Amino acid sequence: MKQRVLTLHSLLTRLIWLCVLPLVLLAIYLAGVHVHMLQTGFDNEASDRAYNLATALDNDLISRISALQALSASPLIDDPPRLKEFYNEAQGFRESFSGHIVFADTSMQMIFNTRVPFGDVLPKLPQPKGHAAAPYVLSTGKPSVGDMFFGPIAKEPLVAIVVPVIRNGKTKGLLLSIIETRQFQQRIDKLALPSEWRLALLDGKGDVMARRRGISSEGGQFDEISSKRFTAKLTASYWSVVLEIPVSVYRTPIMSATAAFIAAIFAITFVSILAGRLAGRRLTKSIMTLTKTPLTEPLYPPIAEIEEVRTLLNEAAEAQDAADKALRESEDKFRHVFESANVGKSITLPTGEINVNKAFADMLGYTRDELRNKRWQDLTPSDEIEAIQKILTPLLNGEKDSARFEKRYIDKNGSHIWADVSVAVQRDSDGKPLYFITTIVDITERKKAEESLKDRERQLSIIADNLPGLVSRMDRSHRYLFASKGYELVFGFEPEVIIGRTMAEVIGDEAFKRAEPYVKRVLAGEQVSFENPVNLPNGEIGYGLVTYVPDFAVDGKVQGFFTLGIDITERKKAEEELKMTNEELLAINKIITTTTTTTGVKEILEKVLDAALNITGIEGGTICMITPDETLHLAVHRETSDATILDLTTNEIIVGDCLCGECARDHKSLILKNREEVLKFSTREAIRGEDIRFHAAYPLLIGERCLGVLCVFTRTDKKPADRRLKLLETVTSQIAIAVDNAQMFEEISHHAATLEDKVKKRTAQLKESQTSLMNMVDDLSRKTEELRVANERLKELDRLKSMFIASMSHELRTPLNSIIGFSSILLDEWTGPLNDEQKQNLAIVLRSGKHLLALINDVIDVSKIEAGTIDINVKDFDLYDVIKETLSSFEKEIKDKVLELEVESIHQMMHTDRRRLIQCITNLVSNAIKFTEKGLVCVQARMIADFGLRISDSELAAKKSTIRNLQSAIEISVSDTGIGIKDEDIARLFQPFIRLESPLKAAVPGTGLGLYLTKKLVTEALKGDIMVESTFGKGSRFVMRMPVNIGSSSKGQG
Amino acid sequence: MKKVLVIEDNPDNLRLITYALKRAGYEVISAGSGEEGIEIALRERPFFIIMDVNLPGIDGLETTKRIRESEIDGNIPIIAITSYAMLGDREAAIEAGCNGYIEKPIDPLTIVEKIEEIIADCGL
Repeated sequence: MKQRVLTLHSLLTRLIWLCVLPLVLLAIYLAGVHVHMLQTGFDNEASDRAYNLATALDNDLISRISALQALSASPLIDDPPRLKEFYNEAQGFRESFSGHIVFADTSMQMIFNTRVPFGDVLPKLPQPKGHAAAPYVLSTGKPSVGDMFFGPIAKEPLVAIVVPVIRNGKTKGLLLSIIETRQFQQRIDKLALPSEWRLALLDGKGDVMARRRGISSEGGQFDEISSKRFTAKLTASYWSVVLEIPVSVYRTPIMSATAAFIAAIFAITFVSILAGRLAGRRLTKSIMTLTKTPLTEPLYPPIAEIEEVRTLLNEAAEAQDAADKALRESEDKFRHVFESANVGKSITLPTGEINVNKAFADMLGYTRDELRNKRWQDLTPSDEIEAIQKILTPLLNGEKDSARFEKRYIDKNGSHIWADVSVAVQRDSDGKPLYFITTIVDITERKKAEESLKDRERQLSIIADNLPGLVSRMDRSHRYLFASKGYELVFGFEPEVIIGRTMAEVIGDEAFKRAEPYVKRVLAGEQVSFENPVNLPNGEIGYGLVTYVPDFAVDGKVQGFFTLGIDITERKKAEEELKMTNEELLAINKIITTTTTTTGVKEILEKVLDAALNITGIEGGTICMITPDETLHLAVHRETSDATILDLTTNEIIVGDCLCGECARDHKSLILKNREEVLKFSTREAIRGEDIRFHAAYPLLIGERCLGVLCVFTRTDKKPADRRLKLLETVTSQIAIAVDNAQMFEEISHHAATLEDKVKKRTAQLKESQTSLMNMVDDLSRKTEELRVANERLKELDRLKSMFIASMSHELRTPLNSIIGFSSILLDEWTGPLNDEQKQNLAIVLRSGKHLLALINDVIDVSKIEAGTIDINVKDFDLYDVIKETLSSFEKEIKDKVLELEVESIHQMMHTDRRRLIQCITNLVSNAIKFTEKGLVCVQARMIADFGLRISDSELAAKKSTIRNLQSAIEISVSDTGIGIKDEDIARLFQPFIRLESPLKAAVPGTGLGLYLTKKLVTEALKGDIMVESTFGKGSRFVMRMPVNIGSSSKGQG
Repeated sequence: MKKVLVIEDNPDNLRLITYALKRAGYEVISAGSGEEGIEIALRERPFFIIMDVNLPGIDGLETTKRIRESEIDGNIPIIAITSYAMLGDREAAIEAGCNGYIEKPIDPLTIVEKIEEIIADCGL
């Protein structure tokens, strides 16, 4: 529950309101009563006035009725002649009551009317609407007052009071008093009424008989809504008096009363508030003076009770002041410490809200304002919050009062700050935690340093663990402070277990003994290195190259040392291997040197044996050579006892006997590793008598031939290594070769002298034959030169021949031209007519001339081709045109022989020798025509894909290689249905000066050069080929194939 | 009659050509050498010239060149008579300025026809 706190001022205001409120309510009530009374007054007055008027009118009417009744009793009525008198009486009545009198009979026929003179003819009584008095009186016999009607004589609104004339209980007639309504109007007008009020006199049917109009009643109609109405009924008639007061008027007093009342309320409220405020201020000030010492004299007179309180308070305050001062000093001190501490301080609520000092804010890069309302969780990496809460829980539970831990904070940049945090909890009297006082020290740098230290430690550890060796650190009493992983592998101790152990424990006593002097030296400050064999866990011996480095403390004293061990086992092994290999190489070298530099068998054997002993490292040995009679002859020996030597030289061992004999027989090395085995194999007493504890025998083999046996032995326990024995075995083949070579050399030397003579003789013979050969060669070359010269002369002659033919033919042709030309003219009868005989003779001259010319032309071409001086004149032309042109010159001949000519050609642009092509086609067509008696000559030209069909393979290959680069080739064939060619003649067809035997031979002119020349031209000039197929008696077909493009033309002049 | 010039050193050939030309209705004047031919050509302005390529002294080609270079209107047709064996003559003749050529042996029955063909090709 929240305690509401009121200020003094509001309390007082409420109090005043409480006082004023009943007053206000009372005033409202009184005002209501007053208004009600006012209204009731109004109402009473109005109804009184209406009633008074009604009563006055009633009285008037009643008095008139009474007067009329009195009149009706007049006997003059009963006596008709006296009716005039009665009229006069009635006139009197009219005067006293100011109303005319009418007398009517029961049929309502007016008998007289005082308004008109007696005796005038009168109408019947009118029957007004509403309450008509006359009929009513006739039916009831009682007097009545009727409603307003319009008088037929008077011509104005009237009302009638009717009284029956009763005689003997029967109605004998009616007596009416007619009153003008204006009389009522005059009466009402006289009434004194408030100006707004309205008054009306209504008859029985509600018609207004008279009225008093107010200001707002112009319309004339009564308004129920906007006015208050009071009605008073008359008793003597059906009439009523209505009084109306307009609402506005009626309510005026209420409005004025309400306005006054509201003004009063406002006044009261204002005054009371003012008073309340004043009182409140006054009281507040007075009370304020209790807490504050007023600076000046108060304006108001002091209030006694307050003054009393003040006195009490002042006393208490003085006591409090003293306490406060002490507290403030303490608080200030705390605040000062809190604010100005250069370590981070925070007061943290159990809910987490923090209030921090500047140092803390600075630490995180915030201002203190930015950290207001923050919780420590907001500044802590999310993964750490839970851990911190765990630490704080016992503090909150009261199990602990303080805690110290390291945590990270997030600074303004989002970086993490490491902090050392001390938390102390402050509790209230119940032991509930109030807040934590937290001290935060930035340890980021330290953390970083720690991290980097750790990192370096890790780095070192990784380096140490991964070095190919062992690293450790020892103290002065050679106990391990650190050991790398390698120790586990080498000594079987895990690094964790090693720490604290002594060196001797780890590396073994033996190894430590070897190391001890070095340990002493290193502890004296010297860096030392040495090799130390180590027993490995797997039983092998490893070699370590160990280096001890002194570990100097800051004061320069040696506090321990570092050890660096490198596994050099492999190197050691390699070294030993190398050493051994070296020795072996030396031995082999010695043997090879011996075998190459020494020629004497004995000498070689001596050196070989020494080398063998050198290799095996033992002292005794022999070499026995096998003689052609299969005995073993002791050639050289070392450390062999005299007895054995004697035994072996006097009674030589044969193959298969004793140790050496066995080896020589089996062609196998025999190695006996102890005395027992030696005794098992040896048969000679002399050898058995010796104390031989190791014996190895090796056969000296060249292929399948055993030259001898090499034995090594020892009388000691020092036995050669297997490796050396193997080596020796390998070397024996080399030894065998060397020995064999030496033996052969001796033999060759023996034969050398005789051989030299033989060679000398042979050389002399050779020299002789060489001389004769040289002569022959000279001869040959001389003959070759002669041949070459002859050849050249022949060539020259050939050329001269061709030139001769060419030039001679030219000279031959000139006269021939004349012969042909002039015989043509003569034959054509240019120079005059000829007789038939002359013509025939001239024709022979012309034909012979032409034949001779053709022959000469062919001869010239052939000779040119053969002399290699043919010109190739390349042009671009259309194949079709060439064929057409060529054939046109045969038209006459074909016509004459009645042959059929078929031509089929493509249009193909050619780049070749046009003239030679024409010549070739001409030759073939000419032949075809010549040798065809009847039938067909057919010329076809077409493109071909494959050039060089039906020519020999080598030719084909040569042609193809020429043609391949050309785009395409054509084929021109000339076929006929002529005499054909015999198969056996086809081969001779293209040879020069050949004319085949045929029935036409005599009849057909020919040079025998045509086809030869054609073939030459096709192959040489057109780069193509030509072939023929023929059936004897049926016809022939010549086919030329040639490339479309033969490339550039060869230059020259023919 | 149209006057034509035949420059030819061989009298047989000249005679044969003259036969053919006269028969076709031409008036033939002749020259036996190049120099003479040029002189006559300048003087007579023939309708066309038949020129033997093989002439003693300056040959037919040189003669043709000189005629072409002279004051004679270059349109005068010159027809060369070339040897069958001398392949290069034909090209050389055209190059020297001849309008066409006729190869030996001369066929008197067809030579005029050939000449007139060449002249027609020249547009005359």
